[in-house]
Amino acid sequence: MSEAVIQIKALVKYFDGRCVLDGIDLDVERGCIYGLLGRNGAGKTTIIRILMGLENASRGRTYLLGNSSTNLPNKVKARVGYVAEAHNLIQNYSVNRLIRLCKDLSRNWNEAFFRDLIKRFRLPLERKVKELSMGMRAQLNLSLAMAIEPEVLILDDPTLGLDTVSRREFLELAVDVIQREGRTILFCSHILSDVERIADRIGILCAGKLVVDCGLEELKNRVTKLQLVFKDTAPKELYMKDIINQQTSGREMIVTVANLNKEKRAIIETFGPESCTEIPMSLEDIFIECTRLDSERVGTLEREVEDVYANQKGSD
Amino acid sequence: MFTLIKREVIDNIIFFVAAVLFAAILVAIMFTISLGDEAKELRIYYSVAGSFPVSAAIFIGLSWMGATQMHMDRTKKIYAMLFTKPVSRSQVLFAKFITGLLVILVLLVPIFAAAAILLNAIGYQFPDFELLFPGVFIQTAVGVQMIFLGCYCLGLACGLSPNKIIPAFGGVILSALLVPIVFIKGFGFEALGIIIMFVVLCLLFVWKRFLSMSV
Repeated sequence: MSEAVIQIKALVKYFDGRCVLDGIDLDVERGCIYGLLGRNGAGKTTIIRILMGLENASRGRTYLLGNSSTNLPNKVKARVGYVAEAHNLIQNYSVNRLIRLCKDLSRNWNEAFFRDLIKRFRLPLERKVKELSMGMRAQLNLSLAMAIEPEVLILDDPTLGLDTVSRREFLELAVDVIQREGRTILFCSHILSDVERIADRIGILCAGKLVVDCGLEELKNRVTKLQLVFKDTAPKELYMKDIINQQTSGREMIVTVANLNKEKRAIIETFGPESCTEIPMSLEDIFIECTRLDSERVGTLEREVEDVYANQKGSD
Repeated sequence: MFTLIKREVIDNIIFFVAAVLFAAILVAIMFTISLGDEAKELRIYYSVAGSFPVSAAIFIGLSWMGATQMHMDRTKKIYAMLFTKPVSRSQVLFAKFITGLLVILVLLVPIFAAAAILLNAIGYQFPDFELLFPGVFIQTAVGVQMIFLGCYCLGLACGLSPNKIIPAFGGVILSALLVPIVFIKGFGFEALGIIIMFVVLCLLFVWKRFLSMSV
């Protein structure tokens, strides 16, 4: 069994009495590229900040490379690269001075690789960090995180502010890291095509819960969107397990369902649709369907995902 | 560790410059008054009148320095960057404290060196002076150092607050309560004991909060 590099156990976080994270459990194994998705304010950044020891959890524990995030030893921090959402760089420093500081503080620094990145991104070393564009700051932050050759790379919306070319360069860089054996990446992004491109496992946060936690291909295979057309008016609701979303408009009904199998198709047939067409779904479509859920249904979906996961583990 | 201290010193260079300036002003006041032609009583009056506003500015400056060091790094998200690097929070705090201590030494060493020179120059020979007031020079030096350190630590403690009011004024107000201890008790062992205890408690409070604060 592969070692879990990142472990999150029953994580709960309250902000001003509002529950942002409600019992998150997550394991990211070594070598995995985990894409954490969720709408704005879903708690992605909070999870990462707790994991990095920058924020305290209200309840629950998080572990990074086997060490509790509340007290990460320096030697563990030296093996973790982190790119923050807001690119937490010292704004009034020159790029050169910031690089020198990070280099002096790090235990492992690949100068040749770093210089190559700086050259590739064409970063102006003499300018102050605050004078850099958002994209340049992202590139600098990423270069600093990569220069230490991290075992674990944690990226919180790293492509925020990058143009298309820079985003592509970043993805190539990420792939470069992935190709080095045993590297693990946890990253959040709103650009789902990026996630789809490099992640091999996906987590979707909704209403403080992790409603999806499975492989990318598995997720795509598991969620199906159907267009049902009825002779007369479509029924208001299909009474069936694993329905993620359903909308009725006149004779037409669009149903998004998880784990569609023969039995479920048979149930749909009992409602007597005139036609049943499968609509292809991208990760973005799945994400939108999953995050449309209201909090009551989140619990149901979460249990359903757990059931499927447990069954799958049993059959393994 | 050296990198962290170097960063703190460079980032807070303005306080070092201010310390040198204040030290120079105080030394100039001391020399002007001590070597002047005025009567002894008048000299004492001038020295008190001259050094009082400068000392008040130093107390305020030191508590502001502590608060600024602590608060600005938080608001500018510098902690959020540093704490993800292979350095512990204790090391970051220690570097701040060492920098504060260095500023105080930059301020005090020239003043006490000048005082020692003056005491010799104007006829108070050290052995006789020491006989009259045993240990007074050292006691005063340590006492001033500790009261400055107390003001600085109060600034550090107030700088932990995430709002703007407490870091801006809290340290100054609390320093104004701390400093009169010396005026009441003098630089004796009792006052020194109280101030040292205060500094230690203050540092423990700052350390405990610093280790667990969200940044």
